Amino acid sequence: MSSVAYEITTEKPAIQVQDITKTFLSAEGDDIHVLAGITMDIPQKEFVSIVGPSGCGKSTIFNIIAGLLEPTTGNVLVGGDDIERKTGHVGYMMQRDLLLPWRSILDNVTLGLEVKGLSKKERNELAMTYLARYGLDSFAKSYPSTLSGGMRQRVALIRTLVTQPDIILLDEPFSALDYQTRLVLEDEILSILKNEGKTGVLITHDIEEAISVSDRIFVMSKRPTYVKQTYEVGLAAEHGSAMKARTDARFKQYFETIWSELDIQMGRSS
Amino acid sequence: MENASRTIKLQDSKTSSPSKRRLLKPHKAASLREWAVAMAWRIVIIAVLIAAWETVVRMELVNAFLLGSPSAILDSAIAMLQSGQLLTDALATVNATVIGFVVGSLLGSMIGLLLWFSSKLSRVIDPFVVALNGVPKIALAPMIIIWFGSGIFSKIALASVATFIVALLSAYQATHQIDQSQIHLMKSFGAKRLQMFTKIIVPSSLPWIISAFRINIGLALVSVVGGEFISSNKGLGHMIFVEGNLFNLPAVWVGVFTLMLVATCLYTCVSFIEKRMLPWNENTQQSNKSAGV
Repeated sequence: MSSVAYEITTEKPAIQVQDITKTFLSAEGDDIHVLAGITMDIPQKEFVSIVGPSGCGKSTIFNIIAGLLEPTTGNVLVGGDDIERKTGHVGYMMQRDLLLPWRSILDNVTLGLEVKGLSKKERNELAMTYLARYGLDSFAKSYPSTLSGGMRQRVALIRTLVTQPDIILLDEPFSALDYQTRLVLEDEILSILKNEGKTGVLITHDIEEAISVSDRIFVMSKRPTYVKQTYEVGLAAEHGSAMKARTDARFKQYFETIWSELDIQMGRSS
Repeated sequence: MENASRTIKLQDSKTSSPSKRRLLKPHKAASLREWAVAMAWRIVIIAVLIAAWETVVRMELVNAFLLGSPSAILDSAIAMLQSGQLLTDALATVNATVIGFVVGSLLGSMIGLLLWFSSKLSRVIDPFVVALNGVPKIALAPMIIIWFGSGIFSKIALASVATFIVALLSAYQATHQIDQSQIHLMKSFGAKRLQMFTKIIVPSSLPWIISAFRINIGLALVSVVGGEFISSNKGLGHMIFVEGNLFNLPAVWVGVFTLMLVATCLYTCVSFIEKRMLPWNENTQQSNKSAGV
């Protein structure tokens, strides 16, 4: 099977989502079609966003890519291989930092390395390298409760980075932060991921956020969800910063186009 | 003036959560003073009560035989201390309580935690546990005394049974409080179930388990004293029961006050252990304070 796969491009996409559908069973025993055939190619080292109206199954897509949920039909290929039911091929960053309150920052960062069975010396060295690289080494001995929300999210990203995944899924990681922190962190995390050569997949409902950071945006339809439109944005790559991308004249055009694409009806929340 | 107050307001709303700890420090002196004032009031209340009690008995407004009097209680206490009976009884009760508490709480917590591995098994046994929890454990005393005799073992067994169920239930429920995202995060690292258990499930259940310990130390004492009422040859419960039958009320009061002292000491010990084991848990710090000991 896999030997016949795409030989046309020299570099395989980081993630290939191939015609995925997902049907849940409701409490009443009815089928609920959440995903109606989603196909996406996410190229290596790109930063892409998935935006859609709320309740469109963004988190379902996220869980399927991560291998936490099995699609009803369709496949997910990571680096050309079917993930089947495996987990551990992607790193995570979520809305809440999920730092463990009983562990110091250093011990939180080493959590994934501990799971992977590295020795204490190895994992502390690796964690300190990353903490130092992003200016958090002075907090190594602190406990999460003494850090601000933005700091905690930075630590959460580093906890993911030290396990060295090629792909990092970001599930609305900025939505719990205040506006200023959010802008700073978007910029910072984008540059960290670019710097480390990672493929990033951001799930967000914030259109501006998506436009400012993404190389590519997948706009989802309402449920049952399919990919309505793909935009190759790349403003952040062009300007070298998510913050500067917001000042680009095309920023507003993208916003208006995507906004109308989403077809959000006022006064009717789903 | 107005300007100043406005600035403070702004700072307050902005730094509310991370600065909580730092805010505590300047309050320390104030809270120490509050504690001293409360303590002084407590002593005043006790002194007034004792004086009033002694007075009404001396003036023969109430029957000293039915109520006892502080001076008679003190005499009785001194006599019992000198004969060594009080210490023997108190030790017997404390030993049975502590051993029963430790055995029951540890076993219960461990089994409650381990049930996390099998949701099928826990679903099956759930109603049994709930039913057992509903039974007043002292109802089991006659049976347990038949099985284990009237010595310390039956008291230990009673305290163990009483604490076991509470510990099991709270540990089991604690494992279900855990955030699904946390589990997903561990899965994304490729964690096995055993790793999830040791690194996430157990530590995050600890606050619940240990707060069950505070309930359990009281339950253990109640069970031991109850068991001693029914059949025993020593212990504070035994002493209170025997002296009560002899209408020796001062001695009964000595037993009751000793029990109060024992209960307070045991509770304080458990709270202290809780504080030492969970230094990161702000809840325990606060509840220790509100316990006032």
